[in-house]
Amino acid sequence: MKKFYILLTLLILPALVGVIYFDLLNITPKSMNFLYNSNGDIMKSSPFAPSFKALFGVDTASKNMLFEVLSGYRITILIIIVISSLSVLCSIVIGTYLAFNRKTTSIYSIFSNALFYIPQSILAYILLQPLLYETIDGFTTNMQFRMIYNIIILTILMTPTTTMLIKESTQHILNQDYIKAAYTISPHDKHIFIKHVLPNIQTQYLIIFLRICFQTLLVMTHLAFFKIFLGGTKVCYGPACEIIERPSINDLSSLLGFHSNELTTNWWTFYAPLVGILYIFIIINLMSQELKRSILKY
Amino acid sequence: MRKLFNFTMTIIVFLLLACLPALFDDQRFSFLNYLNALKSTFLYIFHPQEIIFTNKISHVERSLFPFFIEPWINTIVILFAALLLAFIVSLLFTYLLYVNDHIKKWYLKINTVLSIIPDIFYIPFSISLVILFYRYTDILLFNVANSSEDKALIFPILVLSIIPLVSSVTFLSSILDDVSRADFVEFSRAKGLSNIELYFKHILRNLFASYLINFKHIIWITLSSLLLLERIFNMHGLSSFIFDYGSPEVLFVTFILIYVPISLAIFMSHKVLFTITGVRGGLS
Repeated sequence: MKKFYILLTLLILPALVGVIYFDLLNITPKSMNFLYNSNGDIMKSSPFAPSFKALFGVDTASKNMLFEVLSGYRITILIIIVISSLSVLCSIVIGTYLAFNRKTTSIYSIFSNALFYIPQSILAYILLQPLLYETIDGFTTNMQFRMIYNIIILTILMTPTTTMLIKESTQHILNQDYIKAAYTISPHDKHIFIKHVLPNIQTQYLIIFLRICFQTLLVMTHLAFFKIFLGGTKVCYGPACEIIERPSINDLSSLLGFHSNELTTNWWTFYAPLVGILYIFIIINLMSQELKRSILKY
Repeated sequence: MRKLFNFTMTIIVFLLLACLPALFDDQRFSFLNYLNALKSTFLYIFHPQEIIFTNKISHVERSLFPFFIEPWINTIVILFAALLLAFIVSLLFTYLLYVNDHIKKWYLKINTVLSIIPDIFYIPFSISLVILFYRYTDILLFNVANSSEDKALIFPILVLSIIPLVSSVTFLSSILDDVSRADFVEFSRAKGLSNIELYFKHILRNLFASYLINFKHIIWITLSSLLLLERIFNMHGLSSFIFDYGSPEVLFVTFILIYVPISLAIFMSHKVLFTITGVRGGLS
C-alpha cells in the first residue's frame, strides 16, 4: 500500500504546484516573444522548440508550454475527479439497490447491445455538439451552463457500465454463505450493507473509480480531437481566421486538441499536453494495479 | 425469434440515439423537435434512396446513397484488414513466445507498458515517426495523408492493428501458459511429438478458439480507435458522416452500416467457433 500512496502523491503534486502557482500566488507567466543571442539581437520569434529556457517549448502565441501544461493539469485532474466521483456515487446507489432487490436488467442488456456498436466518444459527440460548438450566431448559453451540461453528459455516459460492475460485485458478495447467516440474525438490508458488504467492496469501489477516471480522460481527449472542447468551442466564422476552433478553458485535453493540427510543424505544442495526459494515464493504471494486488493478498 | 427481436430492438435504439442532436433546437432544449426528428427519420426507412445530406459549409445538398458506399467500404476495409493482420501477427507472436522463453520474458514486460498507453498516443506518434524517418533519410515509408490521386491505406491499417494486437497478445499468452501445461499436451509430448508439431496440432487450435471467444471485445476497442484514426489521418470514411454531416437520418444510416458488417463478422466467428470446438459463442 505504501507504493499506492507514493503514486497518489505523484498524481496530485503537479496539480498542487499548479494551484499554488496560478491560483494562490496569481502569477501570470511571462510570454516569450523573441529569442536573443549574446549581443542582445533578436534571433527568432516564437514558436521555439524545447530548450533549457523553455522545457516544453513555446507555442505560436508565445506562451511557454510548460506553464500551459501545468495550469491545464490542475483543471484536468479536478474535472476527471468530479465526473468520476459523481458517476461512481450514482452507480453505487443504483447498483446496490439493484443487487439487494435482485432486479434483472434486461432493459439494460437490450440497450447495451446497441451501444456496443457506437463508441462512447461518438455518443458524447452527438450529445455535446449541439450545445458546445459555437454556431454562426454565437452562444446563447453561458459558460457555467455549458460546463455543467458537459459534466452531466459525461457522467451519464460513464454511469451504466459502472452500475453493472458494481451490481455484479455486490451480488457476488451477497451470494456468499456468511451473508445468508447474517440475514438470519438481522434481516435488515441497511445493516447487511454497512457491516458485511461495505468492508469487502471498498477497494473494489476505488478500483472502479480509477477506471472511470481513465475512461473519462480518454473520452475527453477523443472529444478534443473532434474539436469539442471542455466548456464549449469558440469558432471563428470571420473572413481571415488563422485558427478556426479555440477552447474556452485550457485544460490538457483541450490543449491537445487545439494543437493537434500542428503535429507536423510545431510538434512540441502537441506533445507537451500529451505527455501530461500520458503521465495521468500511467499513474492511474499503476495505482489500480497496486490495488488489485492488495486485494489478491487477502 | 430471439435474434429477430434483438435486431429490431437494436435498430430502435439506433433510431433513438441518432435523433439525439435534434433534442436541441438552436441551442435550446426542445422535446417536440426530437419527436419530429424521430418521425421523419423513421419514415426514411421506407424510402432510403431519398436521404440527402447537406455540406455544413457550402450547403450543397446531395443524395446519400451512391456517395455513401465508397467511404463506407474504405472504413470497413481498414477495420477488417487491421483485425485480420492483428490476428495473424498475434498467433505468430505467440509461437515466438512459445519457442523462446527469453523473448517471452521481455515481450511481456513491453506488452504491459504498451497496454497502458492509449490510442491517442499511438496514432500521432506513428505519424511523427514516419515524418522523422523521411526527414533524415528522404525515404517516405508510407503515405501518411490522403491525396486525390492515391489513398493512404497501408499505414492506417498498420497503425490500427497495434491496438487489437497488444490486447490479444496479452490474453493469448496467458492461455498459452494454461494450455502448454495441460495434460493432453504433456501426453502428446511424451508420445514424441516435437515442439513445432505440438504447437500447430494442439496449441494453435486452442488459441484460435480463445481468440474467437474474445473477438467481440477486440472489435469494440478497435472500433472506437478507428474513428479517431480517420479524423487524425483526415480520411474520408464513416467518421466524416458523423462529424461533418450529422443530421439524424445520416447518423441513423451510419450506425446501421457500422452494425451490419460487424454483427455479421461476430456471427461468423461464432459459427467458426462452433464448427471447430463445439462451444456455442455465449457472448453475443
